Amino acid sequence: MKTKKYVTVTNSNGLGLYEVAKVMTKNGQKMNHSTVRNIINRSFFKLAKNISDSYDLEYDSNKIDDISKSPEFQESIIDLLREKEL
Amino acid sequence: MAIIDKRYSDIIKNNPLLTKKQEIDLSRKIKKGDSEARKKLIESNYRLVLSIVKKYHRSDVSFDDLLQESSIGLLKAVDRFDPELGYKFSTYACWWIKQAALQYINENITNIKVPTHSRLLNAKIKNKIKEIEEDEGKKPTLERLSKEIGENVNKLKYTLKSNRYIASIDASRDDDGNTLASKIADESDFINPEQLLEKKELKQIIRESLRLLTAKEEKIIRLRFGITEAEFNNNNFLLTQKMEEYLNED
Repeated sequence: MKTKKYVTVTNSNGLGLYEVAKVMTKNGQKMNHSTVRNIINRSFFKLAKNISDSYDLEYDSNKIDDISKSPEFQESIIDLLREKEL
Repeated sequence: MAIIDKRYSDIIKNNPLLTKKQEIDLSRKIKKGDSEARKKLIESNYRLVLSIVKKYHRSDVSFDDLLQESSIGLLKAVDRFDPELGYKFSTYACWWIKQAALQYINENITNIKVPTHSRLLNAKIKNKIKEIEEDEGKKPTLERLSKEIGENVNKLKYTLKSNRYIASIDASRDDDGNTLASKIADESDFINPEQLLEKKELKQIIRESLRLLTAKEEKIIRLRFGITEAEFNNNNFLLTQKMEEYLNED
């Protein structure tokens, strides 16, 4: 496997983009690290869009894209997901 | 302070006020480079510095420092005074001394330096507000102040904003040396009900948003960030045997 390039794993249990791609490929969904990255970005975009819609914030897609890609937003979502009461 | 006072009072005692003719003579000598004449003119005008400093001195400014800084104004005046214009030296010097005193006060009164002209405009605004309040019994609008003072509304707003009083929470507040910071309870673990409600609402929205993710997207996020099944709160996805194997490889 290639050396990690732009992978930032925010938790010691998390996998790098290459590892995730490998697991997904082994599970029958063939993909490379770029696809994994794109899917993650798309997922956070969906979350950011839904949250902004819920709060009636009229952000355009560029703004939502910026928010969804920001480490602060991603870390906040992950922190909330990790909380047991969710 | 006592030492400086003594030194100042000695100088003042030993140097009586000069006549206009003497001032002109000394100034002419200074122009020619006579350092004794310069010293004489400076020492003879310490009285003027002291009288101005007494007027400007306030409790939060050191008297000694203010006196020293104002003396710098006197030195500037001595170097720049033109005897040929026919004015008395004190008429010219008092402006330099006042300028030096005000500048020192402005730079040392708060932690944030605001330009002197802004401070002066702020004082002008405050005085005008007080004046109108006394006359009319209500605070004037910014538009009214703008007309009265002759500055635009934005400048007034900006001036008032930049000259706000700033208190340090670390500054000592009482005789025991307690600070405001030490009196504020540690609320690091405290969440007020409003924040708690907002957080719950946000969590609910995120939970709903997660339903928008496809199984594949959800799985990838879980793998990427190491979120366990329970944490993700989604029973549709189970940790695959292959992933477990993969994780156990290392």
